[in-house]
Amino acid sequence: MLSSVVLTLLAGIAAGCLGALLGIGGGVLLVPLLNAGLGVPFRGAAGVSLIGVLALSSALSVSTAGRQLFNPRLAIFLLLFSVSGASLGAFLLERLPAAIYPRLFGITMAFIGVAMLLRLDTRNILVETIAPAGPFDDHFYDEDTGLEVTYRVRRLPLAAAGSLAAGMLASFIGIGGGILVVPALNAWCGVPMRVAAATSVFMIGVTAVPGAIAHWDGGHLDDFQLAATAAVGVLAGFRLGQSIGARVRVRWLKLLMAVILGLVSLRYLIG
Amino acid sequence: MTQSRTRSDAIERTRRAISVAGFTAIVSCLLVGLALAAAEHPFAAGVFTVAASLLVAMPLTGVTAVVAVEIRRRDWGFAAIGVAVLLLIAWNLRKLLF
Repeated sequence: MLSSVVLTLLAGIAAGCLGALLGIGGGVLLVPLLNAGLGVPFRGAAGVSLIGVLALSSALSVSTAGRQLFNPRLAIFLLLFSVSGASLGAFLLERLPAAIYPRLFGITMAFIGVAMLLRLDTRNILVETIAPAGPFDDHFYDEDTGLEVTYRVRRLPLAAAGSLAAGMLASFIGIGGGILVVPALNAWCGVPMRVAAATSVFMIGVTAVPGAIAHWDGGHLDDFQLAATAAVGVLAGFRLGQSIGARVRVRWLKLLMAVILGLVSLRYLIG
Repeated sequence: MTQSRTRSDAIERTRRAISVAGFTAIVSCLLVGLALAAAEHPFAAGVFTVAASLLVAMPLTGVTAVVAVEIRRRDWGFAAIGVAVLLLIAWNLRKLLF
């Protein structure tokens, strides 16, 4: 009993640290650690993970870090799609066979991991001093280059489709959706990594709500002590991630993300 | 423009104050709930329910703040999108409330 509490706490710390570094909910790590590591049923692990995502989201809402990078109009527009997807996922959660969720998790991790590896050195910023043109375009001070940079949001329908899929996956497999939204915005839509992460941070908590309610209502969150332990771990891990985050460069963030995704997808597709 | 910026700043300050209060309450409930659960106290489940309810409610403060800013700017399109998001969440919440 004590060892499972300690392991859940450690899993939460790892997920929270990853969330602070990459602007994702950490479900990518928490779900496999709880499911494969502690033997929690997949949908139970997904429900606990969504509680962890909500805890991380509440911690991030207090933090001022990354607030100047956050694009509120893009976030609110994409939330319409991610929350719609999450609501549809919540509706389908008890209606689809339970066996498909772990496979879906493995496929999702593999897809995102490959997408991240293919875009390791893409920066998506225009260093020239030009005014933002579209309603979603913005500018910010880039710490990596030390310059004020502008970015243009392209292929918005792709971002909307990615957000819809991210919302459904949030309800199905317990991820916050940031794991899909961040690469989609960065790789397809021209949004810089740090802006994509800051915007995603705002979105993950709201996107997790329909799924968390569905798991709560469906009885997958009966062991709330486990969820609370994971949430406390996530909050502690978030503080740890924040303290080391400024020393990590974007390229290494992407590489770390890709390696973790590859290992997790292997576990669920082959292991 | 300056007045609009000041109002937006006031909305952001209010959002942050609510977030800090909510976050403090969440952490307190989680820690108290875990302590009560360790002592096998019957109140643990109730405290955990409060924590879960606050966790679900917290993300909505951010959306509400964005809606308020867009209304201040009289940008009705983005304000309407924000309200639609809040209505979708409310539709999901009906499972727990009723």
